[in-house]
Amino acid sequence: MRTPVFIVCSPLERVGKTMLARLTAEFFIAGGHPVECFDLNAEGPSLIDFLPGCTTLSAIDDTRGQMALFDELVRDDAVPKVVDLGHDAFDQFFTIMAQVGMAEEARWRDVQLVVLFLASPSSAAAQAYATLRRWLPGIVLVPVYNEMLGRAQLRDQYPTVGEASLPLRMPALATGLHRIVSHPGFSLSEFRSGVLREITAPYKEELESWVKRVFFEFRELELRLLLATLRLSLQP
Amino acid sequence: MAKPTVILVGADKGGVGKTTVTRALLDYFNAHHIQARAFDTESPRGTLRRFFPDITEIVDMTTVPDQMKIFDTLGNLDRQVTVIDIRAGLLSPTLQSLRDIGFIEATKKAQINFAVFHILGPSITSLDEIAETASYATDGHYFLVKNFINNTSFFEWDPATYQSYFRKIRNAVEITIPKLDEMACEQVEVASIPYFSFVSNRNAKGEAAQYSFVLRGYVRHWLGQVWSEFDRVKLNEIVSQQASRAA
Repeated sequence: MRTPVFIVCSPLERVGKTMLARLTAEFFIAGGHPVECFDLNAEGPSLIDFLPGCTTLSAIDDTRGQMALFDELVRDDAVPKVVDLGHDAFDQFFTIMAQVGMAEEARWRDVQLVVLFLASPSSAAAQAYATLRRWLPGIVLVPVYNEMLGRAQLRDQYPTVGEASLPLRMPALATGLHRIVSHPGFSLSEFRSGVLREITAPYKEELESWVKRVFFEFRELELRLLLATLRLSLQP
Repeated sequence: MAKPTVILVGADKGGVGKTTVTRALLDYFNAHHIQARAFDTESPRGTLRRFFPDITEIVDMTTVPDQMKIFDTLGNLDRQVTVIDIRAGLLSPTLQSLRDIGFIEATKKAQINFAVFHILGPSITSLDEIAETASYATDGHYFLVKNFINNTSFFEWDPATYQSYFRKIRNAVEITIPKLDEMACEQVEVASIPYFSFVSNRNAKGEAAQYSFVLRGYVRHWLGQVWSEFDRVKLNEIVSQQASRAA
């Protein structure tokens, strides 16, 4: 099994990147896997506020910071990694990634790079997505439709290549629950293990159902990635 | 049969990245399976030799025995290319010596391929040397190398000054060496290995190393840009030029 590295990104702010990064990490935690997270947000609240035990605050403004992050991301240690890429670091991150040949290195080291791109109606976001498709051919680029932003039809602006890149859905969550879940310190793992008693029915049931639907999307993605890897290994 | 090629890499000032360019050239020839040897004129300790110990000899270009060691052995078929990393400040005197021993005449007669890589510094004094250096390479290849080791602009912001130096010499060809990340540069220096070995993550003994992926990536990207420049000026073709039937 290749070591998966998820890069959660969008060139825009306030589209649900940190929420998606949390959910990605929590999916692995719920499955009993350790996970390493990297927070590249200049402003909070961000991933480190929700998962402080497994998150490193990172910066790529200088070579030292770039080494600390990217050298770690290509480490084939079977530990899933999640990057919460702040909108202001978007351009620099992918420029460095292209320049240092990260996609090739990842392939060589058996690391599976997956870019989870928060889709939105904005032309800037669609253009950035198209640019990533050109810059990173062969990388798994998954558009994520955050239904908390509305149910706009965006498939024309976010074409996919290959089964592994099929879109991911982030279902909408009721406003009241969203406020609770978005509060720094709220842990989905603790909620699922029953530690958080302050959330009562029917909120509890709704949140459980929501987490189940999100994790179902991740399980489907995991299977698609596995299938893609198997197909590749069978090629002559 | 290819003619022997002599490449001088020199500068009239120190610290402009002369040995950096020499190292990139030797890596280029190695990658293209062109047999090369090198002479390091920073006698007695040398600066180039620790990166290419198997093909580099330290010499003193001001002494006749060492001049003989280089130029009397040009016909050695094992090594098609001879690269000489000239000590800073000795480019013009070396070219004068080559004229005195008849080497420049030999290039006029197309017996030898000759190229000068003149590494420029970001000062008018350095640019003033262009015309004098170019006069020795009229029958060879004269490359003006802008090595961006810092944020110098080589006077591109002043078109009049730029044109007066860079457009004056008709046979001069510009080569741009982009800036390499400082940490990457230092790491390769510490490792004392060719750039290509660093990119391949191999140490001086050829064993697998643990160099930073990011730094290797920066060196790979930089080396690719430098080699693209060498390809653009057809360096591979220059060193592969056949000996003329008359010679």
